[in-house]
Formats: sequence, structure tokens, C-alpha cells
Amino acid sequence: MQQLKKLKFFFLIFIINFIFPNRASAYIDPGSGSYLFQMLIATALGLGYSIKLYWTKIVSVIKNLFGSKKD
Amino acid sequence: MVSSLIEGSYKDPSGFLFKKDNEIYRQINLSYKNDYEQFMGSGLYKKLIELNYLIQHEEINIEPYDKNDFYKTIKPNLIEFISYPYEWCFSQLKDAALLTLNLLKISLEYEMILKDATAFNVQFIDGKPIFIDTLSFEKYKEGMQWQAYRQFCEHFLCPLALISLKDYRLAELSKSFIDGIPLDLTSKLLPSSSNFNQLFLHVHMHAKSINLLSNTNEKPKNNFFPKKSLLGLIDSLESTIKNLKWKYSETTWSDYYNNTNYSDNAFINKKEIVEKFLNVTHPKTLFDLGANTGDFTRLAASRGIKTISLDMDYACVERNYLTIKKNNEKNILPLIINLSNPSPALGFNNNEREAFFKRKNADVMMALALIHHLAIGNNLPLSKIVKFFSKYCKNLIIEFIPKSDSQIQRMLSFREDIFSNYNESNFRGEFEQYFKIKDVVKLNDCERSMYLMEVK
Repeated sequence: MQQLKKLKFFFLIFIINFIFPNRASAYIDPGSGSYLFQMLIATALGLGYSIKLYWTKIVSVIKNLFGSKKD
Repeated sequence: MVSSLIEGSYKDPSGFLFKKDNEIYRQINLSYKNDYEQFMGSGLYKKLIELNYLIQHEEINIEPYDKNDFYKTIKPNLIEFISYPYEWCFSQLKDAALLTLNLLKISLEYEMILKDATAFNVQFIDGKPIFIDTLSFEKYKEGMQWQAYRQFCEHFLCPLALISLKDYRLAELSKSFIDGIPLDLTSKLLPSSSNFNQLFLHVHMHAKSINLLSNTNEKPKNNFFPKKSLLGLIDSLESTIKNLKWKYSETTWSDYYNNTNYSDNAFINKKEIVEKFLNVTHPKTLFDLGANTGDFTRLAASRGIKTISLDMDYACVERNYLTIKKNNEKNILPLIINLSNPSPALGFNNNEREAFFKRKNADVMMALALIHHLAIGNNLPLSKIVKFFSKYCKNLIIEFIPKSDSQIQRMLSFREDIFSNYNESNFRGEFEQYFKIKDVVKLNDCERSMYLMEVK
């Protein structure tokens, strides 16, 4: 199971790294690993953030409804 | 007057700090012109000043320090005391981390981003963190990654996680790794329970990717990083930091005033004497050495005196800072400083970060219930202690504790008494070589004495 996870990780890095080469530039060095790691987790972060926003909105709508009933 | 470059500010090509006529200036280089114009013109600077998140500055016309790449010179407001992250307690570092993430979020609303996230960009004024690097903001283009993600993790997240989940003494690692505690080292040191929260992502997986891909020097062509992902990254880091807590158990000194052999009467009397001495000396700045949770520092701070409240005990400084925050107290900077091993000069050429006692001298130093720890606890000869005090202050408020005191008796209960020179007569003799004794008052209900001295 652990091996399979590692293989999947390597495969993703392989695709990103060798299909789209381009040079990085910045005054601090984020490190290639850190840079690629951000790319790998981008979708999950975006998705997580959207879910959180929608969830907050839903909770706020429910709270408002509940609040208005009380009034 | 000759200008001099301030070491440690030259790494960012956007500009640097320099000193002229005892004033601090920041030169902005031409390469930063567009970013600076957006920073000032977009309203971001105004917003951050309103929130008290950023040090205020004024643009100024003086001779450029370096004419070659010169765009502008600005004069930031002066910060009374400079401190470094390895001198902060847990909550100070946590507040500095949250400030950095807040700045990043606000910057994005103005189409700008933080290009670095070093903890050295934050200072403390009146118990609140404030960002001091005006040149850290650059234009944001949709699709950009956060270049400083790793730096943020190594400067803030790693030490906070280690203190919170392993041992507070690991905070000392920040002194050795001034560019941040490496992610792989943090990953090795953290307990396995950290795999079941967001630290798994930001520390463990992050460290693994760095190790696996350290030899890659190219980045993907399709490197678009959606803004929603960036906001998700900030949000995730923010909740990770907020969830880290440090519950201090009572350390040796953090409950000192509750367990001490002072009577209430002696304690009140000691406060009255300190106030009397402060009335005589009228200091603008004061260092309280071995300040514990800062009870006596507050006597000075409440009179508008700018103070540093130093202690080597991590829990004492944490308690001190939390009290300052809770009561919105001004003029106190609590710092973790071990007098037998204060922060040294660090970084390239030993110049990037100044040694603690080289940064600023105090009008008054206060050393209450401290001398016996230096002389007996640390085997330091009185002559060395006297020289130390005389170098860094003009006036000294010091408490002498005789050997008969129960605190010293306890210190000597399991060791040979090799301190035959430790008595009040020698104490006076040694101090009189460098100081003029201006006043001596015996404390009520105990054998301790309070001295007011002036450097000769």
C-alpha cells in the first residue's frame, strides 16, 4: 500500500516535470520540491476552499432563517 | 556624516536599509519601482497602516546611498527595540505568523502578494506584532504560486509545531537555523500523531517532496496556480497555525511569586522602593533582567518608560506576553533571554543579526532577585557581573540577597559552598569600582537590600 502511494506520487511528479519544462525565478529559493508540491496540491486546496466557503454560506443562510423565525 | 549599510537587509534586490546621522532609511531600487507604485497607489499601504499591520514611512529627499539603481528613499518610523524570532515566546511567534498570513490575504485583495515570509520581517510594538519590510509586496498575476510557502513553513510552522507537540526547548533550533528550521528535520522530530492533522500536508508531505525532488531545477510550463488554490493554501495554513496550542505547565519560575518566601509586606515594600528609585532616575528606557512574569517591569511601563522584560524561562515570558495582550498594555517587550548565554551575533560574517546586548543600552537596568543566580547558580565571579552591568546601563537597581536567605540555602543544599566571597561587603566593594552607590534600602520582613547605583 505504502509502495503504491509512492509510485503514484512519483508518476505525478514525472508528468509535471518532464512534459512542461520551464525555468523558475524569484529572489528567495522556494526549492523545486516545494514548488512542485504546491502544484500537486493546488486542486485539493482550491476544492477544499470552495467547499468551506459554500458550507459557511449554507450555515449562515440556515442561521438567518432560524433567527428570522425567532423574530 | 557617513552612511552605513544595515547588515542583513541586502538580500532582497528591491532595496536595503542604511543608517545616517543615527536615523534609519530604506533605499528603494529602480527594479522595485512598479511594485512600489502599485503598493502605494492601490490603497494597500493605506489599508495596512489603518490596521496597524505595517510600519509607517515617509518619502524623503536625501543623498542616495547608492546612486546606481536609485529610485526613492523612505524613512520608516523608528522601532525602539529590535527583537528576533528566537527571542519570542510561543504566542508571540504564533501572532507574528497570523499577521503574515493576514497581510498576504489583504494584499491579494489589492492584486499584490508577499514575496517573502521570514519571521525577521516582524517586530513587536506595545504587545502587538507589526510588519516592517515595506518592500515585501509585489504585483500579483493570476496563476502565481506563493513563492514564500516553504519559507513561511520553516520560519513559523515548524517551530510552532515543535514547541506545541514535542518540547518547547526545541524553539532554540531557530537560533541555529536562522533561515528557518528545515522541514525534513521537523518532520523527523514531530510525533506520529501529527500525521493525522494538517501538519501531514504542510510539514510531512512537503518535506518528502523536497527530499524527492531536490535535484529538479525546472518547473512545469503549465504552472497556473488558481487564485482559489492560493486562498485555500492560506486558509489551510491559518487553521493549522490557529490549532497549534502550547499549554505551559508551571516551570521552575513561572509560579515564583506564589511560591516565594516573600511576605506580602516585603513584596509591597519592594514595589515602593522600585518606584522611589524610578522617580530619582527618570529613565526613558529600562531593561528588567530576570523579570519573571513582569510584575516589576509594569511599574516602569505604566509610567511611559520603554521596557524590555527579559527572562530565560519560557513559561514566564509566555505568561508575561499573554497578560500584556489581555490588558492591552503598552511599553513592554517580553523576551526570552538567558543572561548566561544571551543571543549572539549570527548570520553571514556574524553581521546579519546583532547580539542582544549590542542592539541597545538601557538608561536603567533592574536586577531583582537575580544576583545569586548569576554568582552562585552560574559560578560567575562578582567582578565579571559588575563589569557586565556597567557596560550596558547608566543606572542600576539591584537587589542583594544574603547567603542566609532561604532561596540561596536551597541552592546550596546539595553542593559545596565554594562562594566564600559572596557577602554584602564584597558585593559593595566590587560594585563601587564601577558604580557610585546612590541609595540602599533594607526590605521589610527579610534580609534582602535594594541598591540604586549610577555608573561612574
